[in-house]
Amino acid sequence: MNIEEKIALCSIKQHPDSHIELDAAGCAKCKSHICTRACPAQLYTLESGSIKFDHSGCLECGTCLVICPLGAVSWNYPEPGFGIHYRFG
Amino acid sequence: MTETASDEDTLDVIVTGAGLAGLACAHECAAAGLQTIVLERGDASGAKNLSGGRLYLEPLRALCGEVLAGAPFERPVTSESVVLCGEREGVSLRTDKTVGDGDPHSVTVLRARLDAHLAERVTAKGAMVLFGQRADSLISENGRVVGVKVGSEILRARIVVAADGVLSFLAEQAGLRSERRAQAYALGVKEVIEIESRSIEERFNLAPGQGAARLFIGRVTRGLPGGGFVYTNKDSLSLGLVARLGELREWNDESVFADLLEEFKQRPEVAPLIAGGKTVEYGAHLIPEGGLHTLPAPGAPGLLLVGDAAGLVLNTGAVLRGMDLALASGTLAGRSIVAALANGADCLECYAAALKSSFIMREMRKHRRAAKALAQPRLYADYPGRLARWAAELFETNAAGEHGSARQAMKKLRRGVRLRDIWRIVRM
Repeated sequence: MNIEEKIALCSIKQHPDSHIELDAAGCAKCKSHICTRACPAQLYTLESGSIKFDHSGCLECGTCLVICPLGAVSWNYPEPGFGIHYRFG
Repeated sequence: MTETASDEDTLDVIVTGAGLAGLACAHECAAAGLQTIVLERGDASGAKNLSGGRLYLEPLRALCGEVLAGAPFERPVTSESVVLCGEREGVSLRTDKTVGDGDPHSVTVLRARLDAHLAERVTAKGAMVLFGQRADSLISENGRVVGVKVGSEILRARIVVAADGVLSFLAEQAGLRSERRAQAYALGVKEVIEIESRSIEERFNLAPGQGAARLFIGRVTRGLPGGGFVYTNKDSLSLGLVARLGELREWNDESVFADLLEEFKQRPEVAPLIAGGKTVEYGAHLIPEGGLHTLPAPGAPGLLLVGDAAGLVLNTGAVLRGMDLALASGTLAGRSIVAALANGADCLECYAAALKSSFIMREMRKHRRAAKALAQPRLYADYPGRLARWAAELFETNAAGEHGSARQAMKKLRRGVRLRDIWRIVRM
C-alpha cells in the first residue's frame, strides 16, 4: 500500500488555498530535501531540482515546519471546518 | 498579580482545544460553576487528534475519575511484549497477566471516540464546546493575556488555557517557546487496521475483551531512535512507528520514513497479526518528546499551558506517556483556576505549584536523562539486531552438525557493546 492510497482512506476536506507556504529562496539553498522523506503524506517532491509542495492530503502534523533545516516553511492550521478529520485517531 | 474581576463581557475561562487536556480542564472549571468556553478548530472533538493509543489509568483514578467515568476504552492491556528486531529475526520479551477483576492498569483508546465522550461530559457540566472555531491569536493588555481572537471576533476571559496541542502557536505567541528544535519532537505515523474481534483474541492469545501491546525496537526504524507498536482495539489494531525528528533530519537513508510502515507490516512478528485486515485510516502526529530540559514555562500572566502544548510527554524507553499527563495537567489547571479565582490568588502560581508537586513533574524530573540516553543510535541500529541474532543462533546448528556453545554466543554478543551505553541506560 503506498502513501497516496493511505491518504485516500482519510476524511479530508480540502480548502482551495494552501495553509503552508514555502520560501523558495530557502528551498533553493537546501541540500538535504529532508521534507521529501519526512512528510508522512509525501506532499513534498523534488522536481527538476526544486521543491514542489501540494497541500491536498496534509495531515496537519507539523513535521515539515519542525524539521526544515532552513526554516523555510510557514505553517498555519487550515481554516476551521477544513483539513483532516480523524474518524478513529 | 491577581486575576481581573468578572464583568458582563468577560467569560471566566476560555480553553483553546478540545483534546484531553483542554476537556479535563474545562470539566473542572464548569463543575465549579465557572463560565467556560472550549474552542475547537475541528468539526468534532478528537477530529484533529491522534495517539498511538495507550492510556495509563493508574495515576488518573484519584485525579480524573469523574471525567473519565463511562469512557469508551477499547481494551484493557493484559499482555505486553517488546520485540528487539534484527533484519530477519526478532527476540521477544513478553509478559501476560492473569485477568483480574480489578481496574485495568492501562487501556487502548481511539481518540475520536474518547474525546467525543469527554466533550459530552464537559457539556453536561455546563461548559460550551464550540466546534469549527480556531483561536488565531492571544489578546494581551498590559503584559497580561485577556482573551483570544477567533476570526474577526474577540473573546475575553479572566484566564485563557492553551490546550492547542504539540505545535501550540499560542504558547509561541506568548513567548513561552523561542524556537521549535527538532530534537524536542518525534513523529508518529499510524494505521488503524480493521480485524474481527475474535480473530484479535486468537492471534494475540487473549481472553475475550482483553488487550495486548506489542512494542518493536531496532531494525523497524532503520536505526532512527524510536520504535514500532501494535495495540489491540475492540475490532481493530493500531499499528505505527515513531521516530525522533532530530535524528530523522540527519537521516542518510534514501527511504521515505512513512514507507517503513510497509516494511514493518511485513515482519514475521507482525504479518500474521494483521493478515486479512483492512486499513481504514492513516494518520500522523508529532509528539513533544524532549523531556524536562525542553519544557516551556507552564504559562504567562493570564495564560496556562496544558498537555502537549506544555510539552508534557514522558518517554522512559519502554513507555511513552502523553495522554495521562494531558488529562492530569488539564485537571490540575482547572482546579488551580477554580481555587485562584475564588480567593483572588494567581492562577499561574497555583498551577505551577500543583504541577510541581504532582506525579507529572516528579516523573519528568526522574526521567530527565532519558531523552538523551535514548537518542543513542546504537540502541536501535546495532544492539537489538545483535541480540536477535544471538537468540536465533542459540537454536541453530550448521551443516557440519555443530552447535555453538552458550559461552561462545555470549562472547560474541558482548563484542562491540559499549559499557558507556549500558551505564547510560541503567542510570536513566
